[in-house]
Amino acid sequence: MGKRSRPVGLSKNKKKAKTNAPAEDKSEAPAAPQLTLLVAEDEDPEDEIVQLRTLWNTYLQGGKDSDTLLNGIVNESDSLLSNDREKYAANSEFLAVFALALSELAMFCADDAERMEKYMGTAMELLDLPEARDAREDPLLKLARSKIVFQRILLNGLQQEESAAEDVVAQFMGARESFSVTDHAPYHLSTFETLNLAHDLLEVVENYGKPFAVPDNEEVDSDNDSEAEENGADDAAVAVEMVSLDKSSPVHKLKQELPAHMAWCRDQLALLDNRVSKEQAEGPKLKNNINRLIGELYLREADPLSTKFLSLQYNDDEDDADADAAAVNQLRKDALALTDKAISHFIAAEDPEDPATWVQLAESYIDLGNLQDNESVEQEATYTKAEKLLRKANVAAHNKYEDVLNNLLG
Amino acid sequence: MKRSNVGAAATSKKPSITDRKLFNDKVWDTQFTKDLQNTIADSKPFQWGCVQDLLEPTFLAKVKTEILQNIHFTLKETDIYKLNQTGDLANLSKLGSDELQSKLPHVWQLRQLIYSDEFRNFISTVTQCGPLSGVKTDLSCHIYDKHCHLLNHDDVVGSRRVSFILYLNDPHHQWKDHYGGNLRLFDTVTKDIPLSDPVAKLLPKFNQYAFFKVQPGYSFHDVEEVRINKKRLSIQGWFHIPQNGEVGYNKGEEEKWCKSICQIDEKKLKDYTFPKRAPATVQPLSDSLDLTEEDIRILGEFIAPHFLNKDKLESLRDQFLNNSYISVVDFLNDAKAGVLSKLIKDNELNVQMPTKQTEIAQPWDLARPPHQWQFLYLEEKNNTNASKFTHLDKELAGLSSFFKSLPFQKFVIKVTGLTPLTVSSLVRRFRPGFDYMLADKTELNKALENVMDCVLEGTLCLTPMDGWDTNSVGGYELYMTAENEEKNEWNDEDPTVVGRDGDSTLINKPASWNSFNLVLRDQDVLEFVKYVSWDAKCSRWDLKLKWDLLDDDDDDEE
Repeated sequence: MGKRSRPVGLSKNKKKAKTNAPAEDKSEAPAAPQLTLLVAEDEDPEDEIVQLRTLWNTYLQGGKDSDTLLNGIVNESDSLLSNDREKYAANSEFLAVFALALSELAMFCADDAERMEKYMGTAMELLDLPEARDAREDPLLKLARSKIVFQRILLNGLQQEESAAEDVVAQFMGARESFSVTDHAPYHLSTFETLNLAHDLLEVVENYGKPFAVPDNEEVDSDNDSEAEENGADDAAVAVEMVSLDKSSPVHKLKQELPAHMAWCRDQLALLDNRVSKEQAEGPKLKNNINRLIGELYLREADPLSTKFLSLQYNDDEDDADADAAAVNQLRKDALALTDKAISHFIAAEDPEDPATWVQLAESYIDLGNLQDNESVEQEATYTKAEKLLRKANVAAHNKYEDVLNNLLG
Repeated sequence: MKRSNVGAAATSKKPSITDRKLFNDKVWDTQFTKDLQNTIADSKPFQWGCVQDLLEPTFLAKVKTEILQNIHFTLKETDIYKLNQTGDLANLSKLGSDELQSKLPHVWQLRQLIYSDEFRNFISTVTQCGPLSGVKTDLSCHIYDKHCHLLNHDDVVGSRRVSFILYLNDPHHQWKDHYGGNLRLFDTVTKDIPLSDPVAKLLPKFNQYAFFKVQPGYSFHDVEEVRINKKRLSIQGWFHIPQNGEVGYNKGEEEKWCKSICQIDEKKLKDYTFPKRAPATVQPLSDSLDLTEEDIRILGEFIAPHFLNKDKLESLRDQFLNNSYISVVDFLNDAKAGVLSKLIKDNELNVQMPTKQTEIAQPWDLARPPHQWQFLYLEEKNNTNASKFTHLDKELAGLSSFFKSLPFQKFVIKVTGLTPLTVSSLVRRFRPGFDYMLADKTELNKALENVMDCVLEGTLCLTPMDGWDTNSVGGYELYMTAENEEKNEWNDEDPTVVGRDGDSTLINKPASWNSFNLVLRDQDVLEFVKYVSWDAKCSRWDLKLKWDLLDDDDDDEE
C-alpha cells in the first residue's frame, strides 16, 4: 500500500488549527452557512424575485425561527432597491416580500419597542412606494398591509388608551377589507399566516381581562383543578392581569363584534382551503393547518351553546327549571350542528404522523357525545370513536395522553 | 470542594429560641424522632426520610418570595441535568453572612435554621449518620420547569453525609404525578450498580423536607423530567462531615472517606455493563484498496449513488483530512431509506413503547447501568432470537451487517485514509422520557498491537420525525474536549456544560433522518447523547459504529 496522509484526532485538529492560524488569516474561519433553495421547475433560479419569494417561504415553512433568513431577505431587498429604485419600487411582489420580511423581523425585537415599531413603520412605507393608486391596490400589497396591521394591533394596539380606540377598530376593519385570499399559490402560506395572526389577535381580545391564559400543553393536565389556584410564580402560563374592561377601550370595541370577526376569519380560511391544492408544495400540511383552525373556530362557536345546554339538561339549578323545552332542544340542535362541522374539519386535518391531531378529533367526539342523549347507543358509539383515537394516540405518543384517556374512561 | 464554604458560615450564630419556633414542633418531639428513625432504618431502597410541614408556612412563603424577587436563575444544561440555577448566587454559601443577611434576610435565616445545632442533631439522630458539620454549608436554589431533569446519580462527592431538598412549589396547588419532577429512588443490583427502574417516588410538596444518607454505591436517585409548564422550586443542599474544631471531628476521617469513594471496582462495573461490545476483526485487506465493481454494487444496495463516485469520495476525503470529521445527509439510498422510514415510523406510531425493563422484549435489551447510560439496543447475535425478529429488526440487523462488511471498510478507507483493525456496530433506540448516554471518554483496544491513539466513530442517525433542531428536546450527540477533569453534578467547571464555552464543543449534532457522520476521536474527547425529552415526537434511532485503527504512520503528524 502506498503512503497516505493521515488525519489527526478531532481534539488535536482543533488545537492545531488554533495554533497555526495567524490572527489575520481568515482561511480557517468557518464558512457562512450555505442554504440550498429549491425553486419550481418552470422558474428561473437566477431571478431575484424568485429567490426572495423562495427564501420567504423557506422562512415560513421552517417554523419562523430564523432571523438570519429574514435578515438575508431584508438586506438583499434593500440592496436591490438602492441599486435600481425605478425597477423595484414598481414591482409589487418584490415590495410585498420585502415588507413582509421586515415586519416579521420586528417579531424578533420584542424587547426593543422602538426598533420593532421602526421595522413595522418602514414596512408600511414600502407598500406605498408605487406611485399609481392602482398599483398600490395590488392584492399582494394589500395582503402584506393586512398582515402588518393585524401584527401592529396585536403587538401594541390593544394597550392604546381610549382616545385611540376608534382608530384601532378602524385599522382592524381596514385590514379586514384589505385582505383577500390570493389565487397565487406561492402566497397561500402567507395568506394563512395572516389569518392565523388575525385569529391570534381575536383570541387575545377574547381572553383579555380573564385571570389566566391557557397554559401550553394544558391538555396533559387534564383534571379540573381550579385554574385560579395556579396563579403566581409557579405557573408558567402567562398570567393576564384581571382588569375590568372600559367600554371605550379598543379591546372592548373589538370584543363587541367578536363573533362576527371570528366568523369572518373562518370564512376566509374556508375560501383559502378551497384554493389550496394537495398537489402543490406544502399543500397537504397547509390544508391540515387550515382545517384545524376552522375546526377550532367552530368548536369555539359551539362552546357557549353546549355549556348552556348541558347546564339546562343536567343541572338541578332552580333558575334553569323554567327553561322552555323547545329552547333547550334548539340549543342542542345548534350546538350539535356546529360540533359536527368542527369534526368534519378535524377529520380533514388529521395527520397520520401527528397524534395531537387525533387527540383533537377525539376531544371533539367527546364534546359531540356530551350533546347526545345520555347513555344512548349513538352516544356510546361516539365515545367509542373517541376512545379508539385516544388509545391510538397514547401508544404513538408514548403514554402522553394516559390521563386524558383515564378521564374519559372515568 | 468547590461548592462548600467553611469561612462564611464559621461565624454563624446559633438560632435563637424564636428561630426554633419556626420549626414544626413535632421535630423536637422525642416520639416523632424515634418513629422517624425507625422508619428511615427500615426504608427502601436506601435510608431516606421525609418531614411534612417542616417550617412555619408564612416564614417559608417569605423565603420563597425573596428568592423569586432577588435571585436570578439561569438555564443550565449538561449531560446529566437541565435546570435553572441561580447565577452568582448559585451557591448561597458563597455569600458572606452579612451580605446574605442584608440582601436575603429570610433565606439567611433559613440557612441558619437548617445548619443549627438542634436541627443537625435531629437529622443525625433520625438518619444515624454520625455528627454533621455546622460550618461547612452547602445550599442552592433550583427551578425545574418544563423539560428540566436530573439523571441517575448517587450524590457521592467529597465529604457529603446527608442530602436534602426543601420543596417550595405552590402551596395552593397540589403537584400531580403526571407533571413529572418527582424525586425517584433506585435500588441496586449490587453496590455501585443501580437498577434501571425506580422503586420509590416522592411528589414535590410545599414545605416538605426530603433527605437521605449519602451511601456510596447505594443512594442512587434522579429527578424525573417536568412534563408541563409548571415550575418546581426547591432549596437543596448537603450536610458534611464535621470540620476541624467542630464536635465530632475526627482527624483524617474526611480524607479516608474521600479516598474510599474514589475506589471504583472497574471489573464489577464491566461485568454489570450492557451491552458488551465485541468488536469483529476486519478481514485482512488485499493490496489494492480500490473498490471493485462488485464492491460498488454491494455498496449501492445501501448507499446513495452519488457518494460512490470518485469525485465525491475525494471531496469527502479532503474534508475528513482537514476537519477529522465529516457529516453528510441522505446517506442511504432512497429505496433503503424508504423502507426503514416506513418501518420505524410504524413502530413509533403503532407499537407500545416499553417503559420498564421487564417490558423490553427480545431481541431488544436495555443498556445499563443507568448512572452510565440507558437506551434500547438490538441484540443481533443471539441466534435463538431469530424467530422474534420483526421486519424492522431484520432490516436494522441487515444494515448493521452491511456497515461491518468488507466493501464498507474499503469505503471507509477511501474516505478517511485510515486502516481499520476492528469494527463494531450497535443499533440503538433512545426513548422519549427515558434514555441517554452520559459523557465518557473512549477506550483503546489494549489487546491490539500497533493501534492508533484515536478511534474512528460513525453514527448513522435514523430518527424519522422532526423537532430536534433547537436541542430543546435533547437527543443530540455531542463531542467535546475534556479540559477540566473535575466533575460533580453542580460543578460550574463541569466540562459537559452545554453552551458554557463554545470552544469546548467540538461537534453538536441534533437527531435527524438519514444523516451519517464519521469522527476521528482522540482518547480525551468526551461524547454523550443528551437525554431525550418526554416531549420529543419520537425516539432517537441510530446505528453507532466504532473502529480500532492501525497506527501505520511513520511520521507523527502532531
